[in-house]
Order: sequence, then C-alpha cells, then structure tokens
Amino acid sequence: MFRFLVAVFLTLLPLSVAAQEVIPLKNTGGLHSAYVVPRNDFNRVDVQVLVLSGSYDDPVVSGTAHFLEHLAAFSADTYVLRQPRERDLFAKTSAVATIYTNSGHPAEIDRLMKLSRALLDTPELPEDFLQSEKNIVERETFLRERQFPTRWLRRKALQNLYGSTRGRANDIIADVPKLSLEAALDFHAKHYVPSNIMLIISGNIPPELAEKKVAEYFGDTKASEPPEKWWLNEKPAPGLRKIERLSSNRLYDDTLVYSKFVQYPVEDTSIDLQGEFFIGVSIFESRIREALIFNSFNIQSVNTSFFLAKNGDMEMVSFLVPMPGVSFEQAMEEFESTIATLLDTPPDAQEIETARKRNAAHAISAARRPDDFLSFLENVGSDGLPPISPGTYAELIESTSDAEVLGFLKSLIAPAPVSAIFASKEG
Amino acid sequence: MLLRALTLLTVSLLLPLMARAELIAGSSDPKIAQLTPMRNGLSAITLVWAIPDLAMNRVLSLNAGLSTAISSGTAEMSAFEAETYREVNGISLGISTQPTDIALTLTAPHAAFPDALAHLNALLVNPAFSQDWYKRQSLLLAPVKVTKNRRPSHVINVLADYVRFPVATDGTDTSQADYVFGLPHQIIIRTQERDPSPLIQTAINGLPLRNAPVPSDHAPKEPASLPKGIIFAPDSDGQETLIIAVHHSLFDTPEQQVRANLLMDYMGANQGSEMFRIIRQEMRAAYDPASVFRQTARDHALLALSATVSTPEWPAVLETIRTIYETTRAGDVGAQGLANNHRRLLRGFEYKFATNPSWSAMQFLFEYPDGTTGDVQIPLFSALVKAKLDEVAKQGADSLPPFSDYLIVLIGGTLPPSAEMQSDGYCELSLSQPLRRCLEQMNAAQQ
Repeated sequence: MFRFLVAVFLTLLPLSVAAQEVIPLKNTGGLHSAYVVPRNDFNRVDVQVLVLSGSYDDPVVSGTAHFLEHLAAFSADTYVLRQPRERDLFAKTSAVATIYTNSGHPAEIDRLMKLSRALLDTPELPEDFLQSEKNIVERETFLRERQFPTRWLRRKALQNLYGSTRGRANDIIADVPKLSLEAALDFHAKHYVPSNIMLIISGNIPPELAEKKVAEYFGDTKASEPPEKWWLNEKPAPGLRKIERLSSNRLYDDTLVYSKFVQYPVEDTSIDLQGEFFIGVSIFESRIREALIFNSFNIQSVNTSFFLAKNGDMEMVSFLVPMPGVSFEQAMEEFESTIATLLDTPPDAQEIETARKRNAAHAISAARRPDDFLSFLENVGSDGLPPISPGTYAELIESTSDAEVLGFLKSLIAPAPVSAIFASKEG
Repeated sequence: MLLRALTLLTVSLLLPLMARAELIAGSSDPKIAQLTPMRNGLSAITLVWAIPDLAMNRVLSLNAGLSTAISSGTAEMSAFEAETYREVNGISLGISTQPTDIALTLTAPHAAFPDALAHLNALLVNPAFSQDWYKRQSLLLAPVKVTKNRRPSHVINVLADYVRFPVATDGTDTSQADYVFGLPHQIIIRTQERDPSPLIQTAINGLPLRNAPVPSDHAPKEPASLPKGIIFAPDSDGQETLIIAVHHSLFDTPEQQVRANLLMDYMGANQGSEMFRIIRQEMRAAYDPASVFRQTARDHALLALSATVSTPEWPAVLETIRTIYETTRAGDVGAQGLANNHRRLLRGFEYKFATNPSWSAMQFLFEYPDGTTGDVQIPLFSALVKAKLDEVAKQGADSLPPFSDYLIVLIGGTLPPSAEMQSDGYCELSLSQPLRRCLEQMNAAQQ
C-alpha cells in the first residue's frame, strides 16, 4: 500500500523547521573560533571546517588555494578512512574561504572530527598522485570556464575594475599551467593554521558533546599569527569607468556585465552592516526588477550578486541580457538611470518591512534543506565573523532600523568606480 | 456535483472574455489524488492539463504561455505585487512537462496554503495575458544549443525533449499565442488536511471546462528512439571534448528498470563509482566522469555516461567507458559498491518523495495518467525497496542494452572519430546548429 510504504520512507526525514541558536564553544585550542548550532529536526551532524583563506588569497599563481583544496580533501580522506571511499567529498574554494564539510549520522561524530582535524596536517599522498592532481584541477578549471560563461565574464569585469590580475581579480586560465605542488604546500603551511580556521558543528548533537569533541580533537592546537589579507588594501581607481567589448561563441545571449565597487565605513568589521546589507540589497533588487522586468520589456533577465568584505568593501556584479534589438548602450543607460533614480521615492516603512519579510521567508526556506542550511552558516562565517543561522538571521533583520537601511541604499546607488563588459554572442 | 455546478456557471461568465485565447482545460471534473503530506513544513498542489499538441514548438509555446499566465497578476494585484506577495509568504510556483501533460505545482508553508490557493485561483481566472511577457518567456525557455556550454545535463534535456516530443514543429506561428487555463484534468494535493475538498475548491473555483475532449495532436505512434552512431561537433576554440554516450531504454518491468538504474549508478553516479575510480583517479583524464539515469516516462529512461577530457584523449577515455560499461553489464560488480548505491538511491527516492511535490506528481502521473479512485501504488518504489542485489549483478545483460546500441555525442576539439567508428552512423554538427538536426537526420537514415 502506498501510504504504508511512504510511512516507511519517512522515518529518517525532518519533522519540522525550528530556530537555531549559534553557540560559541570554549576550549578550542588555537582555533580562530568554533561554534555549535544544535537542531534535531535532521538526524545528522555536519562538521564544517572553514579555512579563512580562499581564491582572493592566492599567491602569484591564481588557483593555488583551489589546487590545495583537492590535495587536502583527498589526503584527509585517505588518512582517516584507509578503505575504498563510500562517501563523496564536499569541499569548495570560495573567494575568501576554503570550506570542507563532513556529514554523517550523530553516532559517527568521532570519524567526522578526525576527518576535519586531518585537514590541518600537511597533505600526504603518493607523489605522483599529488603531481597529477594538477591535471584534474586543469580539467575542472577548463570545464567550469566552458560551462559557466558568467565566470569568465565576471573575471574580466573585475580585472578591469581593480586593474589587477591578483587578489579580488584573477587570471586563472593563464595561470593553470603554472600551478605547483610546492606553492600549494606553502599555502597550506601559511593558511591552514589553527588561528585561520573556524569550526561549525551543526545538527543533532548536544552542545556539551560538541564542546567535548572540539576539545578532544583540536584542544592541542596552538594559536599563531593568521595570514594577512593583503587584497583588502587594493581598491579601484577613483572615478573609474571602463567599458570593454568582446564576442564569443560560448554565449547563449548577448550579455552586459556591470560591476561596481562601493566602500562602506565600518567601525571594526562589516558585522555591523549585515542587517542593512541584507534588507537593502533586497529592496535594491526588488526595485530594479520592478523597473526593468515588470514595467519595461527591454531586458530579458537581470541577475545581481553582491560581495561584502569584512572591511566594508562591496562588489556588485550584475548580468543583464537585453531583449533582441536592444543595444548594449541602451540597456546600460536604462540600468544606470534606474539606479540613479532608485531613491527618488524613498522606500517607506511598509516597503522596508516587506523586505524584512522577504528575507525571513528566504531564511525559513533555507532551514528546510540541509545544503541550504549549511550555506547559510558559511556565508558570514567565511569572513571570520560569527556565523548566522536562519534562526538568528530573523533577529538580525528585526533589529535593523529603517534609517540604517536607507543609509545603506544611498551609498549603494551613489557614483562609484564601474567596469562593464559588452559581450556579444557569436553563432 | 458541487464542483461541476460551480464550474459550468463560471464557464458561461468567462467565455466572452477569451475569444482569441486558446482554452487549455479538461472536459469533465478533474481526477483528484491526495498523497501523504510532505515532511518539510510545506503543502503542495499540482494542477495537470493535457497538452493539446505535442509538436515541440507547441509544447514550448504552451510552457511559455502558462509561465505568462501565472506571472500576469490578478484583478486586485499587479504582476509585481503578486510576485512580492509570493516571496514574502514563501509561496513558489513551478512548471514541468510530462510526456502528454503540462503540470503547475504550487508549494507554500502549511499555514499560508489556503491563501496561496486563493492566490493561484486569482491568477488563473485573471484573463490578462501580456504578449510582452510571453515573448520574454519564449526566449528564456527556448531550447539551449548544447554546443555552447557543453553541460551533460543540457544534452540530456535536449534528448529528453526529442524522445518525448519527436515532431519538431507543426508549422504554426506561435509568436502571438494566447492562452487561458481552465479546469485541469488531474489534481494532486499534499496537505495535512484530512479533507482537502475545500482547499481544492478554492484553487479551481470559476475555472472553465472545455465542451468536449480533444485528442492530442502529433502524439508519437510509438516511443521515439535515439539513433545509433556518432554525432561530432568540432570546435577549434578550446582543447576540451565532451563525450556522452546515451541510450533511450524501454523496460519490461519495474524490477528491470530498478536494476538498470542501480547498475548505471554503480558505474558513475558518485565518487565511489567505477568511472570516478578509473577515469579520474587512475587515468587522471577527467574531472567530471558521471552516469545519468533520467526517467522520461513510466517505463522509459535515458541512460548516459559522460566525461569531459583533453581532446587527444577522447578515444582512450571512450574506450574505457565502454570497458567499464560492458564489464558491469557482464556482472563484474563489487557487492559493497552496489549496496552503497542501493542505499543512496533509496534515500534519494525517500527524500524526493518527502520534499519534492513536482517529482512525486511526475511519478504518480507516470503510473496513473488518467487518475485513479483506488489505492495508490507505485510499483517502481516497491521494486526499489525489494531489489535483490545479487540478482542485479547477475542480470546486467538483461537490464542494460549493449554498448554498441548507444549514441555517442562528441562536442569540442578537432579530432574526428575514425572512419570505422563513423560507419555505424555519423553526423557532423556545426556549433550554430541544434542537436536535434543530427538526431532527425540519423534516424531517417536508419529507418
């Protein structure tokens, strides 16, 4: 019977969606920080290791942090499991962090902690495997380059914005052949140090057990000087306005890439800006969408991403696809004039409250799915700031004033350095 | 009877407003199925309409039309206000196409579900249909050219469209199409309410019926098959070649289908797979070796194995894929790996059933294309639960077709297949052409 079968299917599945408290842990040795986020609606535990260095921290050769991610993940897996793998590795290199996630049943907590701890050890694998993993990284890099044109379009826009091929920009395709095992291991020695590592344990685990396990597996680590974030000091030239044209047979549609750099003043870190950032961005995107998608039909699609660094620097990168017959100049003029007049009618209390609700709905939705929940924790944590769970996010949103949101928006639409790419499709 | 009475009354009110629009609706009360509630805090309803014309251009037009209809706002809310309403209330709408149906699924948190259904109803009864919006949706939903980004998933999507909707066009100009969506012919609901009738009534109140049933045009007489042979799309820009071997299989029983699914997963579904172990970790030849089992109908699926490699290596990697496939098909299967994949597949089915109403509705529609009033049983689920793994390995040759029956697609690079490989069927594709052109050309030559 179907209903009976379904009942059997559902015994391991989440029962409800609940708020999640983020609890800082003590006795963490030399780690940057460690947290536990208990929730018993998924019968699993996830241990996230956030190395607080990512692709922006690459040394001279772009891709080094990513190459090391491969080596460290396989090394930890091989060292701990010593058997054919029964699980998939989950690791990724983002702009500011390299994140490893080990997941399993609550009873497997020791294995998950061992796998996490092993990442701090210098990668040990057969020499030929270490060397040849470069081939895999090369394959992956070219694959992503082909499959996701936004990657290279974004890279070109940021290269032009910062006038650089390092730090917040990169030159990954040119650099891939230069990847070296030595540079990767140097990166490990410099960045995979306890003071540059955050641990987040979430799921069905009591806080006291999480604290005990962190002390057991990381209590012996010693604090040291974390690596410098040199790229935070590299800014675009004031008044920059650069436009580049290109064409490619890799594009489905003509695409306008618009990147902008905004500096927000912060007292200490951007943690103070998070509430107005999330609400302000929501209002910005909503108003842009209303103007360009609902009230006008010159644009096929518009998608914008924002990166807020911990020192208050923000990159905004928008991808716009003009409708057939609409020129790049026309699309950019419409986009920029929409931004310039975005606050002619300032958002009232009701619109800001709507943005709060939109954010809250997004957080509740994220809490329903394990992968989205982990992404949520990583988001702010990647900057070395206390992670925000969907549950604590609601409090953050509620405690942000309307005036703070308006201030954020005014800075966002003000003139600032801009680089744009007019990318035409071929064929 | 209550449903019918209300519906007929509304038909007479609505018909004058939609003189130019094509009415997509059933001609009798919809069949209703209630599946067990989801376990993620959400309720869901799926409305299912028969696709009146199964030519690909008409299916795409209908898809864009439904997308337009649900984006047009209501009598009381502008389109933008309606979108905002859905965002702040956690309501989502999704469209999917089945072999003969188009389905609209709404999900909402339990508490918001009744209001969400009233909103859905307001969207569907609103006769406004923006041609600007339809034009944009038609562009966004146009088939991708797989030669551009070379994602295996894109190739599979295009092939799935081809086998389900083999007629590319019926010659109709769909650029100015206009639709009204009336009563669906099936409704599938996932809610905690024991009696969902009031909820369903809210969703369909006032939706018109069609006067008489209309058979679908351009329905394939028999399941479409993929041609054998090789398609090559050369590209001198870049030294990467996507290899994808694919077969459209028909299964005699759910047990056979599950065996094929498990063996395909064993070959390439995860990092414990044979393709990962050999092609990535031993040969160091590809980052993304993988297999796909994509169900296209109740007893049909696309079986695929793929890898993106450095161009000079594609012949060797294709040969390795062939060896892995034939070895597995011959029964040389590790028990632990197969058990791991069985566990994963079972958990995947459990998770999707509990959280993905669109997927669950698809499975229901595969089994009950005309609805049911009795107990619901999905034999595929039972076959998966009861699968005997030693039998799976032993019956590989019965479950999977020989590799020589596969279509090979190569995209990128400049190294063409040998003359010998081309002898079983060959088509060269320029980067600006759709993959369907080669499929039609090769199938015509082989028939």
